[in-house]
Amino acid sequence: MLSAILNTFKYTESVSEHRRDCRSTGSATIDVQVSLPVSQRFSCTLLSGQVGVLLAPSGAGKTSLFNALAGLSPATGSIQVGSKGDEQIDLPAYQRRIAYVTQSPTLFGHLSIQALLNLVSAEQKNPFDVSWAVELLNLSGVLHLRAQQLSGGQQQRVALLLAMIKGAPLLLLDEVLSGQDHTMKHACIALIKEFLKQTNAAALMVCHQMEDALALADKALVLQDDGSCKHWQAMPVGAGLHLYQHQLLASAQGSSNGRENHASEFLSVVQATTLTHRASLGLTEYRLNGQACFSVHTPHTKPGQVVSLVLKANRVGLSRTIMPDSSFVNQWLATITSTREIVWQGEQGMLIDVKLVSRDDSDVAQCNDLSVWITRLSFNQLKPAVNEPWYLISKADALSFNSLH
Amino acid sequence: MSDTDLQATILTLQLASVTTLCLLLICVPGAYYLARSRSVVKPFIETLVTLPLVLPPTVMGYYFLVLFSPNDGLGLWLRDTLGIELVFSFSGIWLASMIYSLPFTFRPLQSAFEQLPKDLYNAAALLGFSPWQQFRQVILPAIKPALYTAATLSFAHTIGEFGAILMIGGNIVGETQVLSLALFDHAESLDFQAAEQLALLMLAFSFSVVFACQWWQKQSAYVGYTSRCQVRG
Repeated sequence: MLSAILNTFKYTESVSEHRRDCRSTGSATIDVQVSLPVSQRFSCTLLSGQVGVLLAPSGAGKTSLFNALAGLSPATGSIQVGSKGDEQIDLPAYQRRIAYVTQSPTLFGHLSIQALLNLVSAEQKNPFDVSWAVELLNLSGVLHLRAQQLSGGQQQRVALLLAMIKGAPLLLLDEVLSGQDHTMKHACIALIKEFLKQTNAAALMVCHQMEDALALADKALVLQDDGSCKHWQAMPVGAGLHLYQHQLLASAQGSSNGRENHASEFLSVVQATTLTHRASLGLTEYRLNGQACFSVHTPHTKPGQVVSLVLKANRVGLSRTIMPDSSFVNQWLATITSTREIVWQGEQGMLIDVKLVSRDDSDVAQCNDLSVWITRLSFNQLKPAVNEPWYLISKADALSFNSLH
Repeated sequence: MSDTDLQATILTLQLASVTTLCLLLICVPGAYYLARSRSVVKPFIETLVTLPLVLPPTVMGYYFLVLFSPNDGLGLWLRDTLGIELVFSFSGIWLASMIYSLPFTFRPLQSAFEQLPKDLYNAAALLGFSPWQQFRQVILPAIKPALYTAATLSFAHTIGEFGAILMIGGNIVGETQVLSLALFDHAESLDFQAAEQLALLMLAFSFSVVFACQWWQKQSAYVGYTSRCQVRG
């Protein structure tokens, strides 16, 4: 079972965002205006194989946007999918080349799962064969059962398979991973990646667990409110995540809605270039804005490859000077851009935003905004101020290897 | 069993089969439409469809007799232009049975359509099922038990019909005399042996129909239909 999952994590060659642009044509170009129930404008271009993740708090209208894209509710504008850019907006839902896994999928209860898979693939002109994925999603044991005999997570996995059978160039995923346990979450992620690779499709995803979003996303879409109309802005994942977390903080500070986010666990994503593997030391070395950066040894990356590394705000510390005699292998020079006191969800502390100093002109300026969480005590003793240079210190295991983009 | 009783039995079965079949053909699309409709006339249509449930059959039969009497009005027009005479004929008792059994077909179907989750239509559409395929592949199989209930109820109900048929059909042997009328004749002429036979026959029939129907419904609730072939791709 596990080996099956691991086998599907096939790492593609090192491809920078830039070179990928030249190689493949757009898989989905969307520019739509939705007026009900939440007025919003969405425009974004996804290349084949890319996943865009929508980052916005509950009630922002993500599901209604998806319904509109899939044709279940009205929208104006343009949705072009596939290599030929076929226009979808005037088509009824059943004719659109868009597959959609809803948040709580309804499966046809009169059929066994196997018969359901057969029925749906018989209905398609060019069905995508998902028989290989049944085992991967741990569904072989329930093929003879009916939908109502399955658990919620199993039903969601079946719905994912059904949507894939459609073989559409655009896949919409609304909270597909949220009902799954750890193993199945990774199986679903592997399956989605493999599907996108095989079909050259693109995907849009709604997901409230940031770690899950990070595991798939190539692009973030963050909801911006410019007074008259809300619109979704596409940006790199790291920048999008940074902005979204600050939006959450701004909207929720003071009010204690029961979200699972903690300011101390805010995530930052950095793009680093793999330099060398130091297997004997248990480390992999990267270049991050020209600065040395170490993570726990990740054998699958190739030198020269750009990877996303994820850092939790409370795993990083601040130091005014470099610390040569310490076990902190990561010591990056950064400039403080803002400091703020957080009292949120029973937590109290300081969230310090920093920008990494670039020591290498050739390195493409990726997102280098990071958040650091320190206690009030440290803040009072160190008194970090905006625009001051500080060292960000962390151990190698503070960086978690995310995925390749 | 006498010849007339046999004739009555055959006639009754004919009447019930034709009525049930025609009712299903009308009610499946009708109930489907009404269940999804938000029209203002919906409550009125629902009332009209349910009316035969509470209306005394003799009242209905009386209005039929008045309406289709070949002496004037609609009945006269029907006889002169189309050559159809509904009073005291098989087509007359067939029409009466259709209306009389209408609620027994329509209501179970309508409530089955209404109980389907709204998302089912959307889910089917998202998987590429056209409206006709949604109906055929998803909706119809989902309401199969209700379809069976509706058919059984209207079949059994038509067999037991008395008042309306007596009013519009008279009691013509071989033409409009159904089992319940034959039984009534025997009882009135104090031929209790023949009456007993028919009564027992109808009792046994009703019991077995309802029993079989319930058994079938239980089966259909637990057994999936296929798990034979592999996923095509």
